[in-house]
Amino acid sequence: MTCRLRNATLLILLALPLTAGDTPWLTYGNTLSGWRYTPLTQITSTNIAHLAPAWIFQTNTAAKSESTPLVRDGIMYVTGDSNNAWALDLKTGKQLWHYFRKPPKPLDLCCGEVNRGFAISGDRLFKVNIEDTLLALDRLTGKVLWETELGDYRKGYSGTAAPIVIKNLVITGTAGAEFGIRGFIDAYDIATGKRVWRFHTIPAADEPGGATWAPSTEHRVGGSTWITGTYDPELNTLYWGTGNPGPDMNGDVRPGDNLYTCSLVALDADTGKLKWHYQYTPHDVHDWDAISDPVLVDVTIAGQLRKAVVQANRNGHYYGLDRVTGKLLFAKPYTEVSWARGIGADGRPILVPDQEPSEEGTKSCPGLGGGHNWQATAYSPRTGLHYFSSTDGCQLFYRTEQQFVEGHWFQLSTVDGIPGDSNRHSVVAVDTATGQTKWRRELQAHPSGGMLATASDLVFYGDSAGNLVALDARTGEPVWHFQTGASINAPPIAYEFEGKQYIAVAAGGVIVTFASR
Amino acid sequence: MRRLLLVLCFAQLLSAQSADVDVGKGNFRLYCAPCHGIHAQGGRGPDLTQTTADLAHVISEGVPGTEMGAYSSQFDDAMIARIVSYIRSTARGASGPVAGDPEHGRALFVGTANCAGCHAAGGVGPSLARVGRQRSPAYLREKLLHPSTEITPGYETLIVTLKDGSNVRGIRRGLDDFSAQLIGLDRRFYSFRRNEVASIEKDSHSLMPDQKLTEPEITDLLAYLSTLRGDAK
Ligand code: HEC
Ligand code: HEC
Repeated sequence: MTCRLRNATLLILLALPLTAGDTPWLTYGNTLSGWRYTPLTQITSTNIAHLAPAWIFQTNTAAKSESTPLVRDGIMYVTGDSNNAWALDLKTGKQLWHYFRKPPKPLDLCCGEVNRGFAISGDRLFKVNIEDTLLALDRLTGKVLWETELGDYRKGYSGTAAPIVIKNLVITGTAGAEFGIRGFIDAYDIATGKRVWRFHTIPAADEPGGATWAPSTEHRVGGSTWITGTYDPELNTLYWGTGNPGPDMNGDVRPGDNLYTCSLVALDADTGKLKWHYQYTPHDVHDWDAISDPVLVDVTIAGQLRKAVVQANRNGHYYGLDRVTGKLLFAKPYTEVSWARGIGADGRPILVPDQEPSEEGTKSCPGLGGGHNWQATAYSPRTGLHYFSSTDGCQLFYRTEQQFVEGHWFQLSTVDGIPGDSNRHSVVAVDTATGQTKWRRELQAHPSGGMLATASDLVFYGDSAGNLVALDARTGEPVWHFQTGASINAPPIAYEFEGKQYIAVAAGGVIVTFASR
Repeated sequence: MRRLLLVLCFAQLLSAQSADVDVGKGNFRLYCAPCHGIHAQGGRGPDLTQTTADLAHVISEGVPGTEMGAYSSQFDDAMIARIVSYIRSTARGASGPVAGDPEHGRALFVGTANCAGCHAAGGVGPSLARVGRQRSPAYLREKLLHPSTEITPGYETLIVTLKDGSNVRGIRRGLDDFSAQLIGLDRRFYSFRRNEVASIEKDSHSLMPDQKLTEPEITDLLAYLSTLRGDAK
């Protein structure tokens, strides 16, 4: 239990003057340690039957929103698909302003014109646009204060991640690894929008790590950074997951480990200098991006308190790393895994032969989207459990040959389901000190929206059938659900306004907020 | 020199063309292969290696009323042209005449095999009025041999066991962790909350029973099905 109390030091809320009875939601993961945990306790399993919509905001856009709203000073700030964003009055749900800019065409996107949310600092909001620019908006008017290009959308770069603010820097990544981009993590001055540093996730041939791409490699591409990282202020270290190498499914054109793809990189937050890296899937050929939330927890292992960073990786394993050194603490499968017999003490997977994609299709588990993909995860310091969605089962992986054409799909093939063997879905709760699965709740509908954990031992998530669901955090038993009318692809948040606790979620193109009636 | 230039130009042209085919193939595998097969050989969608359709037109406008969607908002003309180049590169020429006796197939369909009992308007099965255009011959053959290998989307089977031990089997219209909706074989609509019933289960068996057909009967039925090329609804 002591270890869990110490974790409280990780709950870094930005110091801001708050009205009594108001508890904000200030950043993508609520805390920079990526917990998605609320200390609020008003809504419990005994009174949850009274939870009902307080207001609904129609964005009037055809969206499958993946956005995490932010809440502060009586206002909700929420981004939408296709370069939309809104500020809403918390009291009534009425719109304060709407930002929109028509995306340019054509855009090369793997997964739609999605956006995952704002960052906030003082009177400024920060978001990316789908054509891979970063913007600062005035929080009271929605007016653009500055805008800067992250990557060239004509070359396949796109912007979907929620930025984070660390000191005077706004930090974000890029998407586009299916289109042969060279990934990066960028930091900009919040006042001016000037770039302060850039970390390339793919080193040049003569840089450290460059030799992990054979000299025969014509295009050193991939390593996108499309989910928000986390931050440890004591270590001044930023943790960010990276995506697949390009092309996804034909590894023959890029022999070697292909650093720093499918890795976690630990960067000095002031300079962007690499402190350490850990590659979960060396030479990936299954599109297993390592972008899932890198969650910062302190755990006791063999009687010793360890500063850890945990991740439910797309490759089917749950990893704990020492976040000071990057050394592997443990790795355990949380779903069916066919490609590795385990992760060795040296941190490298022990490979099963013949798992490479092939012209006629190779069965591998998990499938392309993983096990667990990008959906936000939640950690409760009360249970010590990490909650996340999983897709369980296998797929056929195909490969092909193809020339590289700038700005075009460079995936070199695809996946298909296995006839008569459809994938299953679950919510998994893993012990962050051991990587052991504590409980698994198998589901009919995909928990497609990500998780929220509360200090009253509830876990909320939205599913593909449109239900917002609450589970008992200790057992996984459902205690409440509400049909929102649209598939939910965004994680719920919690906040307190005028002394009352709310739960809010983007469902399709609407924002619904719930309170006890 | 001029000759060399010509050769170079030609080589460049060829490589630009093969780049188009490559990009087209990449996109085909992502967007089209789930229905038309990984090599365009057909499956739940028609074989495109033998098609005579106006490719660019069909891809951009789709076939209204069928599973073939319109891609004009997703792809620009240049991308559609690349996909067309790829499909052309798979061409195997027109197919030969279909074996079997379609008239005898039709007689079986409406008669002894009683396919029409389920597939006529108002039956539990899908309309087959256009199935000769929509599915590849290999897919149809597999359907007659093993109906449960691949179930038509929207016609999956659900079994709900009631608290009294009886059960309702039918076409799944909705299923999540809290409720299920189905159309029973009696053509009634059912909706159940999970806590009202003993169990709700997906059934991997098709509602179409295994057809005990001889090989000549299958050939004749396939010949008949291939003539069903009616209007899209
Ligand atoms: C959801 C399944 C599905 C997908 C995905 C799909 N198709 Fe189709 N396609 C069909 C069906 C079914 C038909 C037959 C429609 C009809 O005429 O009834 C068809 C017809 C066609 C035809 C006309 C063939 C002929 O001979 O008449 C072409 C060409 C075609 N599709 C190309 C494509 C391309 C290219 C893509 C990807 C960009 C694609 N389709 C994606 C199901 C699909
Ligand atoms: C008891 C009812 C029943 C009978 C009898 C029956 N079917 Fe079916 N059939 C279905 C149902 C329900 C489906 C949809 C589920 C599926 O695809 O398995 C189906 C699907 C099909 C399909 C696939 C349709 C598509 O759009 O891909 C074909 C082809 C077919 N049946 C042909 C036949 C033929 C030929 C016979 C007679 C030899 C027959 N069926 C007899 C119920 C029946």
